[in-house]
Amino acid sequence: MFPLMSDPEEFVKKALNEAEQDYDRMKVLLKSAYEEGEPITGQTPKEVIWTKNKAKLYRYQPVKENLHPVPILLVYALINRPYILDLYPGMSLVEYLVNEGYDVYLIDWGVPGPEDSFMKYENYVLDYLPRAVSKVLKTSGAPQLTMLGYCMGGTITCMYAALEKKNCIKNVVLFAAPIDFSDAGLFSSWLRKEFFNVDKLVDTLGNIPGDMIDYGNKMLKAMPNFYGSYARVWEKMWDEKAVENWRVLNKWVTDGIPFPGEAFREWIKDFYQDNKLINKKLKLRGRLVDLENIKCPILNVVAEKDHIVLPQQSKALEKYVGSSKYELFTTMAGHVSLVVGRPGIKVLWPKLNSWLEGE
Amino acid sequence: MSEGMKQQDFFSVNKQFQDMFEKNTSAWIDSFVKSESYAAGMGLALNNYLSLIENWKKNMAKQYSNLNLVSQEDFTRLSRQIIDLETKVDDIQSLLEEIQEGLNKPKGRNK
Repeated sequence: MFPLMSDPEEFVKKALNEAEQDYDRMKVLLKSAYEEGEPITGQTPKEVIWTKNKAKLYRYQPVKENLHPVPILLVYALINRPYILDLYPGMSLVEYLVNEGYDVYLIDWGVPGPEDSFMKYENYVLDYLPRAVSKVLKTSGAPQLTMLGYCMGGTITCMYAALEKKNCIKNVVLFAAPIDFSDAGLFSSWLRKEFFNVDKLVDTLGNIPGDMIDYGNKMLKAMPNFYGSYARVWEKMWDEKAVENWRVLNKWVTDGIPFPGEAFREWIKDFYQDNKLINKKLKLRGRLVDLENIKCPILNVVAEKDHIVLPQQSKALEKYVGSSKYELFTTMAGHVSLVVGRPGIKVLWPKLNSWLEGE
Repeated sequence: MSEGMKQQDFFSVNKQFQDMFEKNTSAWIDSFVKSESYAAGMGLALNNYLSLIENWKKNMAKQYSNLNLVSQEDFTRLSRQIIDLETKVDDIQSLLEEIQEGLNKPKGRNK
């Protein structure tokens, strides 16, 4: 007899058990697909205090009377939704900061339409951010603020901090911010000038579809992203809490928005291909972006297991900024878990709180 | 039959097979996407796709123009004009705010 079925009785017992588990899995799957709908993200109460084109500036309703004197402005990547930093109760950096008594603001870049394909980094850094910062300062009554940039939002924050002349930034906090593009892993290979015709892409499509960006990011770890993630959740399908967490994270990673065409062209050419930020050649509206102009205290958080922004891309910042108070904080997290996973919640958030209090 | 053999039931072997498949396929895909031929192939595929889209867009634009219909380009142009107008209003507003702030400052400070 086939050795794997040497005990037919045991085989039937296990088959029934497996079928029962599959039935439970299907129940949860159908329930989450048809009854629960999409997870509701971005639940921390907020109000819109400023708008420009499609961008909005949110102020999260404080829950404490005595707020920290320095407000925080959160800046995220152009390719994400605003809820990523306020993902879900218990998985929300915004919720944590608000509960700790900070006056928290977030700039929502909005979803670009075809009419926004001309938007460049100079528009975001020199038109949008200065006004948002001024609005934050006016609303909070504080003379300075902390800017917290996540991923590309960190790069944007650095560009703004390097060009800002009104001395309104007290601290800069960066989460997985790509600064040095000399070795960006697989992206460096895929986006080489001889293979990747960014001009044709932007000229033809205008804005770059979110799905295309998502596909590129997923191909960095193809099997875990296209198969492993679903296989893992199938194994844990009867655990409703695990499924809920997976659905929330899955919403984040599959809910990308278009990348404004001209900004994408700059992102590929000036950053990935020519590494202009580090080489001191990046100019926004004729103004040189020199990271040495950043003199305020910096907390640079690096995720050691990040495959989208490689650790060395963020760590390089230290060599180029003019800040006398620079702290590098590394944690064993990935790009997403840095902000909403266990390493983020248990390690990074308390670290951020203590660093901000110290400053 | 040995003890080790008895533990090898169908379901655990199936699980082992799945894990092994995932691990090996993952290693193969990772080594493939790292290769220059993948980067070149993706670049070529993207270029071909874009050429198709480009032609299709050109043809559609011609069709719309022949039929005197409004195209997406026209809407985009109009939306851009509205955005430009909004930007101008924003600029005026921030200028006014600056002037007002200057006026509200105590006179002593200006001296």
